Amino acid sequence: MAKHVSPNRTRTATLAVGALVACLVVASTWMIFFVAPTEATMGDVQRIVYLHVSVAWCGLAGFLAMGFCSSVYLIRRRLEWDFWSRAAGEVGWLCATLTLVSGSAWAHEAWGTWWTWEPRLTSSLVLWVIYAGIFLVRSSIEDPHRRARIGGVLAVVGMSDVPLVLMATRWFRGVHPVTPEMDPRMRLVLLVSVISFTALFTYLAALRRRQLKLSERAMQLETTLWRINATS
Amino acid sequence: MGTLFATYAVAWAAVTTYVSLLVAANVRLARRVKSLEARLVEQQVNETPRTRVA
Repeated sequence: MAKHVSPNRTRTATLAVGALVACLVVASTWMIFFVAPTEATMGDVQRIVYLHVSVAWCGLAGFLAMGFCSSVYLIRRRLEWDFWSRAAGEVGWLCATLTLVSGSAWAHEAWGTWWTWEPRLTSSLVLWVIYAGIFLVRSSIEDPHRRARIGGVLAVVGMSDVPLVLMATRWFRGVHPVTPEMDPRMRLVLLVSVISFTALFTYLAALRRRQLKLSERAMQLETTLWRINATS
Repeated sequence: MGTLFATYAVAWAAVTTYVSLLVAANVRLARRVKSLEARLVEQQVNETPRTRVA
């Protein structure tokens, strides 16, 4: 059974961490627009890269975290791990969506097309579809443990596409940049951006996990109250 | 410049919407849990000896 969640106890901590993460994100956005130098060939549009790389990293990390937490659930059978798996996967999926959107915008400016069936882009789209499918399957199952078990197996299997996305630029011939040479200031801004986005998405995953835990607690209390009323 | 600002605007709109939905759901659920706990305590206090045996 899940532990009791006190709403008051965590409220202050949640707000404090949220404020800290917000400051980090505002600082990194300021750095993207005012500290990073303008790239010579592409001009200001190149600043999309800071967002694109950060959300791409968070998306892949989210899917890896989902697979890891699902594996732990499959071994231990504790719903707490399924909550983490679902939260990490959902945030990862949001990031994967933003990766596709920002990548498409960048491609339009750099290659003159919104989309091309190039290995990195195609494997990223396949990963996005796999996880969308997992969430659809999960939403159709009512029993929490059955949902966690089936979703867990699918998440572990789906995770096998992550190395393919990572290595696509090395294993296959494509037009996606591998690791371009960067000005030290650009590298610093990219690093700060990746750190702040990681903090933001970890915070979002923690919030989502708390929501899942609270809804499970509410369901338990409703069942207990129903039983009391049924016996009296 | 238009593409750059549009991309950041879409990203921030998506993140802000998700954060707002999460915070709203968390607040609503926390209130629901609190009220259900209060009702449970009330029910247990008002429980009759007969139902306790049952």
